[in-house]
Amino acid sequence: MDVRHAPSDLLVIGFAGETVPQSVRDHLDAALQSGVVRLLDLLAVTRDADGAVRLVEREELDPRFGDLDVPEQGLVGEDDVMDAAEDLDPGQTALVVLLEHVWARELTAAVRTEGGELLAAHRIPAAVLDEVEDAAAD
Amino acid sequence: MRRVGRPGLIGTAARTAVIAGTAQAVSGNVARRQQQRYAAQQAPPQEAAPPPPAAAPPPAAAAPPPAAAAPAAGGGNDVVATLERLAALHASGALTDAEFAAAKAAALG
Repeated sequence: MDVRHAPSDLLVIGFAGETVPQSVRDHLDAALQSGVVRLLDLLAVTRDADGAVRLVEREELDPRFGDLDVPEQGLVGEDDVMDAAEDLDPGQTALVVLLEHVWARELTAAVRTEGGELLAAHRIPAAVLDEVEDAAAD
Repeated sequence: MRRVGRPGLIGTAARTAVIAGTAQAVSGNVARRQQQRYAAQQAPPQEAAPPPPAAAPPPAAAAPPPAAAAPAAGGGNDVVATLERLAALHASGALTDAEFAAAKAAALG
């Protein structure tokens, strides 16, 4: 069965300052180059010192981001971004990325073809895994 | 693709979850806000409740593994359980559309 998209994560990552740190860009590059995930959309949202929220498209972003391929630019809706911006403090910037889990595409297709049904899908934050593991070890 | 003036991904996924009665409905502040907004829109039990979002098939909600969008571990379990019970009552015919919409809005409020 044809699957147009694999399930994807919409990540909104806030930073204290007005730029996205270089090391974050480096690790994003590494993840993309591995082919495990694909970048569908990318933009940033900033809250000015006076509280106004502004969307920053890839083209206006830091030049370090300008060369990323964003095949489905616009798929993340304004609603998604503006709501996320409510959690930003004045002077803060958040990077918004829609990452497709390419590795899951064939699995998704197989589940559909076999009439399987996804009954639950939970993303467990890394910190929660650490916490539960530590608690279980006590 | 147009970013403005159409349903967001998170809102679409949340609406789909509410309608389907699945458990990934509420996780994270953004999803909660969008779901509350949707419930508020649905609340007035007048003739034309906005139709379910047939127009915008959500890639995230339609597909399996691995993750719901938001990594936050929000405290939405009670709300989700309530929504699931309401959805079941609605599906069984015990609640009318209007009653279901009102109860859902109350649960989300």
